[in-house]
Amino acid sequence: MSDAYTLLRGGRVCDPAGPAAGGDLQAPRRDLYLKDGRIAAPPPDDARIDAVIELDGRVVMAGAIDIHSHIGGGKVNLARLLLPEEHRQHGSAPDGLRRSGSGLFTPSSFVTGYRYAEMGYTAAFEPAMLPSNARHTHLELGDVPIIDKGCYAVLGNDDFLLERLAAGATQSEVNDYVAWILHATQAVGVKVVNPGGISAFKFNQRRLELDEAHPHYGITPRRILTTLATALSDLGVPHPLHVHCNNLGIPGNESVTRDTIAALDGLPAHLTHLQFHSYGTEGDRRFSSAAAEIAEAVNRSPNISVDVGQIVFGQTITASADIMSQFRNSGLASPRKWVCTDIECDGGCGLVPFRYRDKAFVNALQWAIGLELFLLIEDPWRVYLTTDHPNGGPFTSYPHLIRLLMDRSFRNEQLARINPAVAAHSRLGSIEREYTLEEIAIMTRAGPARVLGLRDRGHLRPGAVADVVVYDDLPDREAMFAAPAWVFKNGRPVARNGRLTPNGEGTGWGDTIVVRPEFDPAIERRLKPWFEDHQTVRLGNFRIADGEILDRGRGGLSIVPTLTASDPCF
Amino acid sequence: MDSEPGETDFPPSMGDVVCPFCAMACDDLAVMRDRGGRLRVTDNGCARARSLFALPALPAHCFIKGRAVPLDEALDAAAALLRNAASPAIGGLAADTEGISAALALAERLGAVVDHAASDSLFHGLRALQVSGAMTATFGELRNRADLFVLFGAEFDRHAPRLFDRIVRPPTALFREAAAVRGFLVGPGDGPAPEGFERLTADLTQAPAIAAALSQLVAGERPRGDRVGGIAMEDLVRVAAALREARFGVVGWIAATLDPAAGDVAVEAFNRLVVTANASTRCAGLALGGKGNALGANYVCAWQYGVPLRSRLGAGPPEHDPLRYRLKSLLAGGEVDALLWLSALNGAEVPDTRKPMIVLARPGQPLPRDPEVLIPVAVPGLDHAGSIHRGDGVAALPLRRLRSNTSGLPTAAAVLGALLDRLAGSPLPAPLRETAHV
Repeated sequence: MSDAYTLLRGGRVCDPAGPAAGGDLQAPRRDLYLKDGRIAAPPPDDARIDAVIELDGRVVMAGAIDIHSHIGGGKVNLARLLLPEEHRQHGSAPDGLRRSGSGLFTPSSFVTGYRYAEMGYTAAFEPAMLPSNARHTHLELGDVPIIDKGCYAVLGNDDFLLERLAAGATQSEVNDYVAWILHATQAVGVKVVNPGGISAFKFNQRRLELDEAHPHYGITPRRILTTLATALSDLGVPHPLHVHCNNLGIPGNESVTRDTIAALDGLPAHLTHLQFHSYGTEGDRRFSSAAAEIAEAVNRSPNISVDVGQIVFGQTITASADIMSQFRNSGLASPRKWVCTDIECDGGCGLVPFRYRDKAFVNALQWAIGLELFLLIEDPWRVYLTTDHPNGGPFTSYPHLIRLLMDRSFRNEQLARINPAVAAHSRLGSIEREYTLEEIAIMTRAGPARVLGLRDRGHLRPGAVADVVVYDDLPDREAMFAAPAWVFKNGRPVARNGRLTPNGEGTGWGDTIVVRPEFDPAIERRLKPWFEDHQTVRLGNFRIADGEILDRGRGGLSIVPTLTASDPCF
Repeated sequence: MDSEPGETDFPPSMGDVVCPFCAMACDDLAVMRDRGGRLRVTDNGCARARSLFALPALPAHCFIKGRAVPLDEALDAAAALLRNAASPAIGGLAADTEGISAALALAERLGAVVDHAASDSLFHGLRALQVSGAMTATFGELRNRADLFVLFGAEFDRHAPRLFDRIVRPPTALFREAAAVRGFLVGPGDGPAPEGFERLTADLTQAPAIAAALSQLVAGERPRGDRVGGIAMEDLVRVAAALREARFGVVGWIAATLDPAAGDVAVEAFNRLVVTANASTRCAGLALGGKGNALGANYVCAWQYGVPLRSRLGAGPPEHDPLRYRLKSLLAGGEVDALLWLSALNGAEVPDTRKPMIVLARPGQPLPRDPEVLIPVAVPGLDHAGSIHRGDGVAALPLRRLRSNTSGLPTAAAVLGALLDRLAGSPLPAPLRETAHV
């Protein structure tokens, strides 16, 4: 390690999780020192400074963090195989620095890392890792360069948990199981997808309400949801339960979403791709925006954080563990091909290609609903920028979305272009709010870092990982966020003006971020026979050893500390 | 890497060993190791596993045109051959994830076409997927749930060993009576049907017509005619009724036994049948068979480049064409001027070609002729750790090292990495090239 510093001089540092008033861009310019991959305190006068980069008042933020983006694992890879036409259209050749690759909404692994880094993102979280697919997922994410990554293990439709709940398992047994899964699959959180519903579909049930008994186990989605949310809270896992609610995409699902928030009853939880769960049934077409009601419920519930899952117009593919919903939607596939897979008494995988059309009322209203949610949820610390990549559109549309949030006239111009019925059915045009740069920094950095428990990311205080992004303060916020002037990962410059830049060391690799709560290993006495009698992989082969990630020489493991009673709660 | 472990560092008996020798990827093998380092499967292995685990770890030399040489010399010769190639290809690809990754990286450097030895079977399913999608389930789901199996193919024991013991009629199941399973075997009459199964003798080239007739019957229509593909209509009526009445039916096929010229059409028809049955009950498709981690090779290529195998890498953006870049056709047409063949696992018979060829193979791999360069490599899952993908597409399984590497063989990934290093200084192939669309 070098003892030399890199000095980023004279930037306007927008660091909402930093020192007091850290987000105030009117504050005096602040120098940032980077050393050994971390942000350093201002050094003594005789310190060796290797490089000085003059920022001339440019805007400086921590590296951005995508809290929910399907970037790797079995279903993403199957999506690539399903759509060779996408990859034919969007390919890139090797250029000595970059490996070649292809894809826009299901980009190949190397391209994924490059595009994120070029956009100033330095971490992304794969939100739907089935435990049975965990090894594949980590192999794939091991080939995503530059950025840090982590995975949420999907639980809540796995037969072990459902069977134990039906048999009257105690909360502490569930806690041990959840902790064991986090360790065994090298995950940083737990996601529940259509609790109970994916399993119910395997029993030929096509829909499951929050308080409807599962056809085989007799337990309700409510019970699964609250038990898992309690488990993560009890275990001190910083990221609360990541919830994909029941009845995704169905008009009228706003009621189950509000009931879910009520069912959590103050337990911390993260509701993901909320846009897809905020639909009413009003109007001639029985499809309406319930964004105001949902935003109101979120505003009243400080235990709840959300990401939006904004849609953008154009071709994409929807990829979800929610095979119950995906099978129901398979008739909408465009092009007309789709995949549904029942997986390992564990979960499922559904892929339905889709084209969001701005002239179609339903799609245009979905677009408006997402923006309404962003603008009506008041606390930027609890709402994060996502498209649920690739479900609402590719992550590369984030700069465009930032402009929609920051620039009301641009937003209203776009509103005027889409299906005209939407303006009449949405309050979007009347919303005056424009996000500030500080609010953008919160929703894309500080907020996700806080809700994931990443203590050394998402801010620029001394000791933080030196993931730093420098922007030209352009009036066109889309241009500004699409091509940052500088991106540093672990203190090394990786991109300039929106393009990867050679730095003499190749592109480099980020860490895999995991959490490891304590648990009673006696749970394995119950799990081992379960694996032998009911699964097709043995317990010892299911569990992923650290060496499987570390020995590839492609980034380390970074362990998020669990919360203790003395930590300020979320 | 730590110091080389000795023979005593490995326990004499090992449990839950993963078998890398076919797409079933059984992970419950018990393996004994004798003092000489020889392995013996003592429980849960099929005949193939027993014979391949038992192959001794022989010392093996590198060869240039049949002359024994040190590894460095073989690498230099291989690099020279590849550096001068205009139309290189990398085939076989029977290896673990790391070996495949290294082969693809080398292909990208060379502008080479990549394909797997067993890709014909793989592409039946893949081309059907590219056209119409798929509706499937994995082994673990079916073991516990499937109460009806309609299986197209032949020689199930050879292509999918232990399918019946592990999946169709397992010792225990969560949601069905494991012993009460019913089923139909559709294909040539090649032996007695297992208990509970009925054999419907049929010509497998007619599988698309049979599956289409079943789709009609499941949907409540009546196809014309008395027989389809050799099966009497009343028998098909019974199969369709069974699919409708099943709580969770399976339509499975041994891909390698389908019509080589139109296996994709059959798989599309199977998929339509599955989707039709799902209108009222549950049903899933299941592709069976495969060796040499073919599915894994395709997966790694897909995630690293966005395209399946049968692609040309590195000469511009990845270019996939399932017809044009079928390696067997390219070799037959004389369109490859240097071939690197990777066969660290079984299932990748070395092609009988006179084109300059570099073979990276496990010791004992049969060779039709002396290749230009032969470099023996260690066997994943026996001599070194790694991972492979199971054929049903979700589980990747860890491979362990089971014996000390007394023969000192390098891994395929190490050899390929060394080749890449040797080629690092050479100019990239010209990005412009002639294209000829088929």
